[in-house]
Amino acid sequence: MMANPVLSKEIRTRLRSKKARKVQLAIGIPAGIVVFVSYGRLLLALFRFHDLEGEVWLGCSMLQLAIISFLTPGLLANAITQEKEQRTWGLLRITRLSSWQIISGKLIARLLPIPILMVLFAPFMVYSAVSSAMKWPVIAGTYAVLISAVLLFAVQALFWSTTLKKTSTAIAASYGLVFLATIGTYIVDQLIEVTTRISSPTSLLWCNPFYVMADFMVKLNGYQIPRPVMQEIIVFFSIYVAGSVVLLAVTDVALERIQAD
Amino acid sequence: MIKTKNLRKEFGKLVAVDNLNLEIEAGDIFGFIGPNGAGKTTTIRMLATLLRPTAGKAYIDGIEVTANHRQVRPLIGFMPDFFGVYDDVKVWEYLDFFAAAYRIPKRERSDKIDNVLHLTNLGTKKDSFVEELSRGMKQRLCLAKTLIHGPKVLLLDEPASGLDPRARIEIKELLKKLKSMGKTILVSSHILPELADFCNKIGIIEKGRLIVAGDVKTILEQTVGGRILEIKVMDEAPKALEILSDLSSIKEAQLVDGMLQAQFSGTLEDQCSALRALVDADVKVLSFSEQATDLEDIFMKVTKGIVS
Repeated sequence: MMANPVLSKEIRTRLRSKKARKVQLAIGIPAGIVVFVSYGRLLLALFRFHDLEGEVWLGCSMLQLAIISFLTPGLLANAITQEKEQRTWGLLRITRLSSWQIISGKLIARLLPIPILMVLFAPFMVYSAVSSAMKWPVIAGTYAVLISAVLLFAVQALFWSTTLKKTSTAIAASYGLVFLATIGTYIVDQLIEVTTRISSPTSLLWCNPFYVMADFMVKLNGYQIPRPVMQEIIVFFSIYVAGSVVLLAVTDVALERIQAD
Repeated sequence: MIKTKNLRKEFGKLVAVDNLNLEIEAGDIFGFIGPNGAGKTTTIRMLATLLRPTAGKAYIDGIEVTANHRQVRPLIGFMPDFFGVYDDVKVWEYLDFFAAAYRIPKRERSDKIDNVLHLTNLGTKKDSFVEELSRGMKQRLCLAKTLIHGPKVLLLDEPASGLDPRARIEIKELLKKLKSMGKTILVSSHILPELADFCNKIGIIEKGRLIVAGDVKTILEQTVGGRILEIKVMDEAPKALEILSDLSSIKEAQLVDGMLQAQFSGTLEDQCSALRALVDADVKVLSFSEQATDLEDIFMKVTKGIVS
């Protein structure tokens, strides 16, 4: 994998970047304090209340999903636009690098903070999974939802970065789509509910990873929900996984055809 | 080595390049001259596989550029007029990245990097960060990047633009070195003395159209109507004019500000004969020289200063 020059260059420059270091410090210090305090409080709660394991699992999963939704578009939205803006894109396109090498290099290098995030949450996830004897499908399903969300949110940001010229517009488009998939679906669902006066949630929410994650865990933990949860999950994975694959292919074609500037 | 056939590029209603026909042979140093906005950069970007022509074809080493960009890219080294460099990388890392991007095996990269750094006189900057380099050094670094994979054809778009006189001379010397290495070079510029020294062929483009192209000497003769002989005589200028007008190598002779100016299209032998004819007729010749006609004269003669 490191044979991909884009990947090794991206990792090297991202680790060295003075600008990134300032951003890392600006975000890292307050985030570190929050994580440290949360860690302590959570550990304390786990020792005091032994019946909290299930809630810890759900809470940590939702928190990871929230961070992923917030972080992923920002990591990828400038992947190609930055090259265009700093006028290195033409130099890069004229080499023998394939579009796929550029896409995979950018994608992998820029998504490295996500596994770090998951490792950070791993102690709580492991603890709650072991102590509550959690079923394997719940564990697999949770991570499947998380990874699907990372994949689609990252690929769509990369797509915008490829097709748009400016980083600012690519960031706006990327966050716009994430907003639409998360908060947007809730707002529209509520509007439909208010206007039609039908209280059952619309299938629009099947695109919402938070909603699906919650339903999925409740269902797999043996509770009955008066909704077609399996259908909902199948639709969600179809949209997120197949959508990512299709968008990756479209980005690859767009990169191949795109002009340098 | 480089050929275009009715190459055309439109940006909406604007015709940036209009039916361009070029032919550059292996080893040629082709100076692509034209005012800003004439279509030089667009042509070079089409040749560099970075822009699709609206119509027509371009060939590099016999390979059609648009349909076979993957085969063409290893053959060309492209240096754009404006380019950026990656921050937070060292000079050798920058070159190593491009060497890897051109699929040069890892074991060969170190030698190739040393060679291009030596050629571009950046050997001492190998471990410096790219952002610490001066503008001229960055320009040379870009040229080093352009050469890293040993391309047959170099497409250099305004390689000395925005540089101070020293850096400009350094780039010029570097291009002379590349010429001696037998590279085929297409170099664009609107600063003509830059090209005059080392180009054996030129093409002048204006408003997207190639006005004139070919061998520098031939174009000089075609456009300026031969060379100009400047002769200063002590007296008897009318007699000297008469003698010169009778010579077959002189097209036209006239008196300008006390100096005889003769349009000449002969050999060095013919120049000697002209001088001998004046001396034999007892005309007292104070000075006899050929006026230096350069690319600027050709450029001013054939262009009207129009851009597309």
